[in-house]
Amino acid sequence: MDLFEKISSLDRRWIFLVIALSILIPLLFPFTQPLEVSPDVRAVYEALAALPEGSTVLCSFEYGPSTLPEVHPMARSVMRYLFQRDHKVIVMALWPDGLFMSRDILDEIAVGEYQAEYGVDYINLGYKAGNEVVIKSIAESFSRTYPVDTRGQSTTSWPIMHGIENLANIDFIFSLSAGYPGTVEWVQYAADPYNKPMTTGCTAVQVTEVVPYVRSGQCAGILGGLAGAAEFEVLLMEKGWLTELGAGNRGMAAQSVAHLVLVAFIIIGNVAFYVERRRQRKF
Amino acid sequence: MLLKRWIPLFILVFVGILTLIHWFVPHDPIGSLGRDFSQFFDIIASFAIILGAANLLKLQSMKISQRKKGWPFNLVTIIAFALTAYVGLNWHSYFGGGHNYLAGTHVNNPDSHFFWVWWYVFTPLSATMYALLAFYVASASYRAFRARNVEATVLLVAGIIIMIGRVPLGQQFTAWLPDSGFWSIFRLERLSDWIYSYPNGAGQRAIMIGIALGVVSTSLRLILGIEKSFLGEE
Repeated sequence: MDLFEKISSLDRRWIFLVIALSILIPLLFPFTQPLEVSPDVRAVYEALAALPEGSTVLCSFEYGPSTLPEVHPMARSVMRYLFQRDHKVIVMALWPDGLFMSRDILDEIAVGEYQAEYGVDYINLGYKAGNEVVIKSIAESFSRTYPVDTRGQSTTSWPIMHGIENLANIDFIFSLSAGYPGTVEWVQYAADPYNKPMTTGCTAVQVTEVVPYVRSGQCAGILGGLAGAAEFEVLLMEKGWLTELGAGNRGMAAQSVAHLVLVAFIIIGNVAFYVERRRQRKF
Repeated sequence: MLLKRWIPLFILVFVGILTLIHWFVPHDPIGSLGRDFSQFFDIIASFAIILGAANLLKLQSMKISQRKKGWPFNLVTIIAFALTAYVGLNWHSYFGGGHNYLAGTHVNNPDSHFFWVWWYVFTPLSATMYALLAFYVASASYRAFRARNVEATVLLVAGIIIMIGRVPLGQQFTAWLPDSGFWSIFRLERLSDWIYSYPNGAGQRAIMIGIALGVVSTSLRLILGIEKSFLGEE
């Protein structure tokens, strides 16, 4: 068996080992890399920056533990920015897991870092079954869709909800999404029909389906995957809203190396495939 | 016949037509009926959870009773389901004493057993399952991602550009190209953005418009009573 045959029939455990090392080593010994902020990430920042202080922002959590490493870093950055600018944050979830994701972020950022007051600076409405129908429903009425919040208290009893009857009273929508229902549904059932500005932070695999809405202007920019989160951190630091880079940038070292290793594997596999095919044609 | 065919058909046609009309006639009573139907969906969706749970229990129990291959895993599923349902439905199930949570709010409270199960059992398991994908994607890419013909080669090149262009280390390969001007379009990050925006955008739009047209035609067939597969008919 010559080299190319060996490459073609490489035991997949070797591939697993190399991928594991290419992720583990940069995570254990992280390195920073210069990062170019893409126009889509700048568009997200500009859309948020255009909001006057004290605006009411609806943040919807549509992701779970499986996509936490990708979406959590951008959720942190967005929340930090919103609380620093004294925006009122209404949190809800279209995924059951989103309830726990939002709780984790609010505990860490709203309570831990900014000592924000529940019911005054922010509120967590929780999860409601029904996917896009929930979006249509809050377009009609928040109190009918969410009679109580996650604390079991009447939604309308909290000061933050005074004057917030439905989607018309919301200034901006931010969807933190990892699939269906998510960003696409927010565009289709809220942002577009009710002419509400919105933007999104989503997983890298979701970027392809959201991009048409970004290009059409229905969604103001996009934070795509861990790279989007890392770029947003860099941008917030440039603008003085962050003092240090977060998990987005820490994770990018591992993702960078893993991507390059994966590409190297694909190229090696194709070289071996090409050589073998030429040999077969000869004989 | 009346119960199995005509009543469900009448409900579908009535609700379908009214929901459609309420977009064009938002005034009451049509407007309020249309809004109420949206609420009905929420309620039905909540009941569907019970149906899903019953279905899960039925399928898993059948596999255990028939001692099918891997039946202990089905047993684990049922035990995990029962435990999670117990701590979820019992809002007095929490660590320590002195709590008096309202039903439903306990799932979101760190002291509750449900929260513990979710955060310390489900979260790591779910994250682990997803993380394993990286290894299988790498192995599958190595074996199957081949430039066998022109179409496969275009896909391969686009994939490689996106994979390299989306990470800062990869972007360094073309960092020597100027930031602006003609040659800047060949920087990997710009190329990957271009692929996302144009070839991908065009393809995605075509798919979306196709799906939308399909949804419209299927909905019309349902509302007009032409499509009856939901009744179990051909």
